Amino acid sequence: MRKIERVTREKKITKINQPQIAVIVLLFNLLICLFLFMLRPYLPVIWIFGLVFGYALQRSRFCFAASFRDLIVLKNSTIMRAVILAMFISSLGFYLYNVYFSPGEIAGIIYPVGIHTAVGAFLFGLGMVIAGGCASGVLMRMGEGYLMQWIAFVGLVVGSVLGSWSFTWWYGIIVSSPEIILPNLLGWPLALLTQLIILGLLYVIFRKWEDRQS
Amino acid sequence: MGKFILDALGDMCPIPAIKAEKKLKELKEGDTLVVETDHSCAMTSIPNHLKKKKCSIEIEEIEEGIWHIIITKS
Repeated sequence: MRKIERVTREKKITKINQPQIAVIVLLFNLLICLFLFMLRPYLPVIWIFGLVFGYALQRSRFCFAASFRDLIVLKNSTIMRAVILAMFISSLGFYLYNVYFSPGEIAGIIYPVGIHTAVGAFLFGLGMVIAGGCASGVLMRMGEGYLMQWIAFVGLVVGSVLGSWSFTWWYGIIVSSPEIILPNLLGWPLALLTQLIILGLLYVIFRKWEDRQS
Repeated sequence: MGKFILDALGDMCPIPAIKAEKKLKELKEGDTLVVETDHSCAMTSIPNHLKKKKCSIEIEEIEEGIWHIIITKS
């Protein structure tokens, strides 16, 4: 660490005109939407949802990798509690969708849970902390212009391709445990209640734990 | 009342926050630590990490994609 007299740089920096670029990008996106609309009328909705999701992710600095990493490395549960809150809200939304809008149809992909889930989660956790982000975090910082994430993205693509290519083989030898769906075991209201109570408890535990760290 | 600069260019989360915390311990009251970073997430992770420490934090974008996080120990 060196001691310095002046922090601000002498050279005056001319910044990029961001609003101008934003307008160009927006117009380009409208063209993409038009093109997607001609392919399939519902595709622009997905495209716009992706853009809005990315915007929210970047602005809020919501980061799934950081939520777990900060918990262990920095003893800070702020982002973890944000993730729990997000799961709390999406549980409610998921419940409303399944009970009132499309009853009986589960809008989600359910896979068997077992030891392989824990092993996979552990490996994924190691990878995401070293790479500096999970899939959404890597994509968000790539868009921000953080070049290191482009290298992580290459790894992400290679890993995903290898994974999907050998998926059935892995599935056959590893997975033998049952699929567990809480709503089928407990019924929808009780499943929702269980989930919300567990999430609420986790929130309180992390809060208390963080206060005790200092 | 010294001013110190901490080079955290190229460091990814959570390294800037850990480095800043370590250096902050060495400083005296009233000293300023400037963390130079190109990792946008450091702008939230550092204030987040130091919120229980006695310090004030300012953030300045000195160049496109490079920020100075100015931490004054109090």
